[in-house]
Amino acid sequence: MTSLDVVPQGLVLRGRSQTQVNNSIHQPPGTKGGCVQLSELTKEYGGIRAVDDVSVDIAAGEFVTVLGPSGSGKTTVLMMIAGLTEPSAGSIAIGGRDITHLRPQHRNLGVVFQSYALFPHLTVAENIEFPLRMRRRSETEVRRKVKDMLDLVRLPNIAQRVPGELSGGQQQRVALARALIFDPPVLLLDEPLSALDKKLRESMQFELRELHRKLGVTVINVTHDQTEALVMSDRVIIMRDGRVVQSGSPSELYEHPKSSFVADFLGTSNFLKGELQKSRDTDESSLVTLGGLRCRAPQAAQGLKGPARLMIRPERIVLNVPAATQEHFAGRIAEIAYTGDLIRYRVALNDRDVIDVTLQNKSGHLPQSSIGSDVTVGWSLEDVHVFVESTTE
Amino acid sequence: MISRVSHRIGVISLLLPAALLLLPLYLYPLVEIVSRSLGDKGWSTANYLELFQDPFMLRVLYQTFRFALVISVLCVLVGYPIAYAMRIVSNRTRRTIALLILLPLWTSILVRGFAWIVILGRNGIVNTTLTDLGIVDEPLKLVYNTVGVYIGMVHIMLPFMVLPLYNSLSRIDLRLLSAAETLGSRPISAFFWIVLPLSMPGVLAGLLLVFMSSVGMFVLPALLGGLSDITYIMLIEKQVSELNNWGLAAAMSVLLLVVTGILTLLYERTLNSEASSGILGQIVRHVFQRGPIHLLVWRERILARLLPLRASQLANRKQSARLAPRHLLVKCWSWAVLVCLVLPLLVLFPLAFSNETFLHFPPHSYSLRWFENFFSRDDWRTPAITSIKVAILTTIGAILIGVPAAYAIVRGRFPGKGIVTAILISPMIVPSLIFAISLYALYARFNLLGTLGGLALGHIIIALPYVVVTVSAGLKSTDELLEAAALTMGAGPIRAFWIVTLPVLRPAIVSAAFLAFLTSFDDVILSLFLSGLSAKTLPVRMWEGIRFEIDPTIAAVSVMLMLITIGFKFAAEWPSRRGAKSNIPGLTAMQAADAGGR
Repeated sequence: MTSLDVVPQGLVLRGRSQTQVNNSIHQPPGTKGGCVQLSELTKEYGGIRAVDDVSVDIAAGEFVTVLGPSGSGKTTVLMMIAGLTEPSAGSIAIGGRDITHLRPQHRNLGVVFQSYALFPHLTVAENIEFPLRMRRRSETEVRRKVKDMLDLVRLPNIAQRVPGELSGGQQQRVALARALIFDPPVLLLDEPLSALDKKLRESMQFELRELHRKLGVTVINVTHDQTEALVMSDRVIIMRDGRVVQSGSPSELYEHPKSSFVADFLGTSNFLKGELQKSRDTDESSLVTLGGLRCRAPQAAQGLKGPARLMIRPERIVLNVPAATQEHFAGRIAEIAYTGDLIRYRVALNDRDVIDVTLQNKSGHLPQSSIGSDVTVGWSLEDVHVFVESTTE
Repeated sequence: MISRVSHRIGVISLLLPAALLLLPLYLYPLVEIVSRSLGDKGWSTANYLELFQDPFMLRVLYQTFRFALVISVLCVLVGYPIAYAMRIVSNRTRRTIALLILLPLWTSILVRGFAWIVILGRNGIVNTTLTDLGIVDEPLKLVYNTVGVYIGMVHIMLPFMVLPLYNSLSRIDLRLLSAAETLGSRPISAFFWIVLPLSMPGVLAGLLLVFMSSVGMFVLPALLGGLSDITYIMLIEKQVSELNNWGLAAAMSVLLLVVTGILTLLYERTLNSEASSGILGQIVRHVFQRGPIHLLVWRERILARLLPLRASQLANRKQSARLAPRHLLVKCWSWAVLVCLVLPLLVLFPLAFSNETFLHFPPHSYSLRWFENFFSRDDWRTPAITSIKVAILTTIGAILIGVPAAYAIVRGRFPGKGIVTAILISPMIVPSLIFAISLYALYARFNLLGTLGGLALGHIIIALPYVVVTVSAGLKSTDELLEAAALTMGAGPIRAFWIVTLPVLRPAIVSAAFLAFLTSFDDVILSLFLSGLSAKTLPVRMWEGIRFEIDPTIAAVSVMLMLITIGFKFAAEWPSRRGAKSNIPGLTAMQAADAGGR
């Protein structure tokens, strides 16, 4: 395999990506996405590690979202891939080729900036054709591609306007068209939807997915919006304080969070604080909450000890059907919030343990209850996660 | 109803002092210039015909415009990298650069002219160094010719170019450059495609400002130019003081005033090019902003035809290690130019302390004899005292007249506000020599030449724009509601102004007072015409000294003036740090605020 020659030293290749490297290197550029490897990527700003030893393999054609709160280093990672920030250590390879020290204009990556960074003095057409001009493509190619791109992003009639005259959604599409017109193997999106209003954001999420499927380009998206991450991505990488906390498919992360941070960050969660203890008679671990409730721990938490948090998603809890569940407790409804499709109940199990329950607003399924009435909450053991405090915090 | 009437009366009484000064001593003399240009008796266009028929007149006019154009273009070329550097460096470095650019601006024009003569003259520093090193046999002729004028003028005009340029560069989002790079553009093409077109309004504003000021400049071309480097303004002076040909001088002045007026209008439009939908705004947008883009597109089209880059070439580009420091060239150039801006002023310090009768650099021995000379000789001491007296009178007058006027144009609502403001600011734009001769004609009739009071009145008029601009900026940045709040609590309008607005405005007023003092203290042209023999000021004495007997006393005086001026400027800046920041002569309040060391 001659292609191994171009793989830089120190690059950690793992299982699946090894074959990806070999496949994609012979592909003509543009027909399909390129794979991306980040190896031990680190960025220090004055002694503070904004990005700390990040290693990620992204397969060709994958839609990956880097998710994290602000200050988690996710944008820095993206800017390092784009070549706008120089890594302090580690390497970046695209399609098996080390680009760590390549200038941005030689990386051939499409980037959509958070502010879109459209050139205000150029018309839409001039903005979109800019990358082709820089590549000195022929006039006929430029014309044809600009037209194709404008059709692709569904903006056929605004070629001669300037960005200042466009709406936010239109600007976003122009920025996309500009980033895609030169058929880059990888598209980088920096919080691409954050400036749009909610409705537009939701429709753009589906459009982006569709575009991704159509073009087969590898997409690396950066966002702090968890819904966006879950809706759009094949894979989500969650970052915190410059490190990768967990990565996996949206359902994997949602169903099997490895830490309370991930559980809390993705979706809403109930946490019951307490202490893991071994019960005397059954030799089974269970969590005794601050309020004194004894909750059984799932299989994974058996044998663990010490202060811990029990997590259960609000939509996995049922009200008033004790027979159908493995665990149930009595409580009193403290608050009811009606949001249309969902109804949220806040149930006080005792003075210190409070739990949120979300029920679908389907006819006939709601318990006849009001604030102050007594209910039983119940869940099955497989929906319960326990995180030991010392390791998660 | 009552309140509107009282408001009207209030505005009128606030503007009354300014009107009483400007109508007889500024507007009337200028109108008189216009009427004189049309002949002494009846209406005649003879003077204007002569302007456009006399080949010598036409040649000087052409030469003046060419000269101003060359200076403007030189300033763009020299100043653009500095403005760009100011945009990309850290805040702290930017403040340093701004200070270095403003420093020469705070120094008397005579001092700078003198410095260049010392440096570039036949036995000047450059020539002695070059001959000592054996690079040239004969001293180069660097001053008293066109080269000297260009060097001196660029030195003076550079700040007026850099400040509007920086102002427009600072509005460019630097992320656009990152975007351009990720889209495949080299830094140099990103500059031509993005930065240059977006900064065109600034380039145009700077060009206009420098062109305008260069056309009206008298002192420096007269000091550093040769016999053939005569400008239109010098020709006007000659017609008045040597040939006593008032009609022709008046016609020439009117021509220059019209040109200056048109350029000022263009300048205002350029500054607001995005907002203005008028024809000028359109021209600025289409010719100066879209023009370069069309050129670039055509260039790429032709290159794509002639030298197409193949995709494989792009893919196989060498992995170049990143350039060590970015923008190295820009930064080096900027620092070199900044050194050239400040160095000429520093050269005077050793000369002032020299112990020799001739200017020689570096001096062989040092002493304080030239300072002693200054303080012991009456022909230096008397003008210095006169200057101080006039400057104090000017300061008091300009503040008493300017502060109410500024209050009226900022807070008042009355028809014709735009025109009133324009008139108050206009002494900054009218070439001072033209104002000087118009006032000279008036004073001659009323025997006011050579009186302290007469001179001070003239100085008040040229100091007024600075006071109005500074105080207006201060007023605009204070909350009008403060006064309203005081009124609701039962204070009368005058009381409200006295106990609420005035204390808030104090920094701006102090700043304006210093500016007024310096405007008077530095003035050459007005004093040259109005002071006669009995009220000779220090700048006039220096002017004579530099022209007729260059000796180190002038270096000593220059050093003292520089220290005093810079001290004053710092003092003037100090209280206004938080409020109004506007003390750059010749700039509008907006730019001044931008440049004030942010």
